[in-house]
Amino acid sequence: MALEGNVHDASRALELGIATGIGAIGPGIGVGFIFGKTIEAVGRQPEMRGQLQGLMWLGFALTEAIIFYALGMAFVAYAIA
Amino acid sequence: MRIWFPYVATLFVFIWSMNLIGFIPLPFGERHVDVFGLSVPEFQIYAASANLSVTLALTLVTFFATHIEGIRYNGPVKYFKSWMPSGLPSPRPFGAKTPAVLILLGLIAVIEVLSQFVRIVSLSFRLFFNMLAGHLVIAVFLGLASLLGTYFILPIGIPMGVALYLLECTLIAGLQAFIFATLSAIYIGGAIHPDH
Repeated sequence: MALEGNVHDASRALELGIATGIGAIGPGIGVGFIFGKTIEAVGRQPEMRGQLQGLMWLGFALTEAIIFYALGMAFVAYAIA
Repeated sequence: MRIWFPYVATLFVFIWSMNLIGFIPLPFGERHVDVFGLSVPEFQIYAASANLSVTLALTLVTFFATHIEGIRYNGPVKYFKSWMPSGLPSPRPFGAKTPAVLILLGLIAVIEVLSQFVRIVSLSFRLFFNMLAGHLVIAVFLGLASLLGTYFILPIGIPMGVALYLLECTLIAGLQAFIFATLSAIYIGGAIHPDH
């Protein structure tokens, strides 16, 4: 099947979307785990809430940053392709 | 250490205000839009921390502070030894060590040295891409109508853009400043007191 139109630009755009989307799966699961486990822990020991919240935000930001590595590499591939 | 509290607090306040200032729309666009005969430049948002140079400079300050303080408090030998995780067999080349142990120790040393340098990348890219992606997502949602060439998407795009703008202002800007300052404190503290 012959491809018509601007295949080069289309493949670049697809690459950006697919790479970012697949890269978002892992951090999404991780962030969900962090919040879920914090809720669980606070439910078990409500007096630890203050300490757990600080740790939760730290873990959230560390996990969330992983999507940005995927996004950054996707931008690099988009720019040089 | 108490003497590094001013540095960490300054990092927090500096990055937070930098992020928040970046979310004020300012008329710095190159293109001008004609509004009732008045040539108005485009409004843009651009945080200084959405630039890799700024975040990388802040990260390098933390990086050098970490290692200089580590060497100053522990001495070079003890400090560089403390990079290795505790509980490993000691690397005496002429002792009764099998080659496999030495190879494993070498691999662990390479990984530990790499992890020290990966901190630069992770710390600077986290702040940089958080702010950049925040701006990009807001821009994409507000510009969805012109991207797709239809105005029917506006009732979805504008509220989503405003919601993401508020999320970025209230949560992400402060959170990223907090994370940067906390991680700097953890790194510097870990270098000064390596055993805990």
